[in-house]
Amino acid sequence: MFELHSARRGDLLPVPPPTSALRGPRRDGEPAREGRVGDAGRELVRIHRREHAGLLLSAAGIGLARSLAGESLAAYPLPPLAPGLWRRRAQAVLHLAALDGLVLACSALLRRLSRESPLAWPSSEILTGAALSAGAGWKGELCHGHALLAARLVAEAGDSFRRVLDADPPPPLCWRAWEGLAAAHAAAGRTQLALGAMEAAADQPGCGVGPLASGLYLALRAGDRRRAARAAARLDLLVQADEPAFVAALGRVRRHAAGAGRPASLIALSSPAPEGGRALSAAEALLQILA
Amino acid sequence: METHRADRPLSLGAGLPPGRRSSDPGGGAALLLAGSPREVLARIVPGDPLAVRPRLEAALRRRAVLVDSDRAFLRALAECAREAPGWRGRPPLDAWIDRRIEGALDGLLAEEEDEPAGAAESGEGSAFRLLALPLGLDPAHLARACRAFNRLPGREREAFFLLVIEDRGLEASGTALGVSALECARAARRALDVFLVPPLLSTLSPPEA
Repeated sequence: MFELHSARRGDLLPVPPPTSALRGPRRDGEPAREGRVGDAGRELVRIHRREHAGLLLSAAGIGLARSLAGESLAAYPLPPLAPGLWRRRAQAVLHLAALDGLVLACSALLRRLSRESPLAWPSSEILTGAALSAGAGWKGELCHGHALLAARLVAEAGDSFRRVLDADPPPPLCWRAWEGLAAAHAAAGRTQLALGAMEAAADQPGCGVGPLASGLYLALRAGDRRRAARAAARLDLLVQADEPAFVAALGRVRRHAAGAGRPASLIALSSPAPEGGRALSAAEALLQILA
Repeated sequence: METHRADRPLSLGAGLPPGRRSSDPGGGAALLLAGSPREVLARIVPGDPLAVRPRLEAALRRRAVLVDSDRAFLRALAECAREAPGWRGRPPLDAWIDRRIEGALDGLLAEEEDEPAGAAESGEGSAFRLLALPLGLDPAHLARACRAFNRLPGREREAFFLLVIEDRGLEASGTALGVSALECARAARRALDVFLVPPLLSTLSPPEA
């Protein structure tokens, strides 16, 4: 492998010798034993810290699943965990930390959660906030945004998603942050801003069909034919109408529409779009759902 | 008493004294079977008696990722120490250590995707700093470029390793990858592009006239 750690500071090479890219330990003598053990100990604490934070984020997801419809949960960036499995994992992590006498600021909260029914847990935004304090990263901030959104703290949720975007995260988190920001705008009734944010999400690499389907739905609701046609055309290039991911995205739209009622502006799109042909078939699929 | 020289190239099996072979239950295993994770850590860090480093280097090469190998080494040891209380001799020690190394790399790469490059990557003593500064590069930008590299498809990373790092030559690299030389070169070029981004390049000093 590419040994980024050079043997000597004066012997730095961008490329190691071709005969062997693999080296043993440092040749200039290892730092004092206490120092190396201390460095490894910091990595150990880091593992514990991230596990604590991850468990708090998963607990928040369990809380959201309990209190919300599937639509909001679908955007949560962590896979759902069964409460029983969560409890076993939490107990194992707490046990390992206790062996070292390691007590993090969130350890007591985690212990409480592991002993109580999820029905008695604090609200999800409290848990995601605790996870952030424990060292959760960008994904934790996204979880926090969704938890805030579910608690109808729309402005705070928008701030949370903006913090992720300001940090210029990798594409997989970037489109999720744009999608969250769009949801925050939509919840605040700022449809045009929501449309713009959703389009930004759909422009990110690897976003899949979710933001496109959501963007199409938002455009249909707003009666924005231009954006609806664009989203539909892109959807049709990406998916077949019966693909599982597309069907799942449509399911989310269906649930959302059931709550919002059928917007009158959809009627305008029942007639063929100017582009004609296949361009609006995804929109037509939505119309069938919403009819 | 057996000693293990720090500058000795490590390889599993024959390269280690019998008492230090990681598969020897009287050697490596005994280091893991008692005490708290921190106590285990204090036993397995000095001298790398479990021969974690050569295994780690093989894993890094297999995955074709660019990380601070020293930090990955410490993380792998921390993983071993953390999981040691749950190990009862199954799976066998060699396989168990390999799993810990894979877990450590999974964790580090997941952190790359979830956190900004921090002091651990660009701070004093980090591999990125040691490599970047003499070349006139910003350590943080170099760390970000390596992160971007690690997100590339495996084929492109592998082509980069074969052609640029191991300098195997175009034909041999293509053969190793199972593609034509041209395809291999294109894949390596796509990987190289992550290092040619403006923030990294702008830190380079202009060539002297």
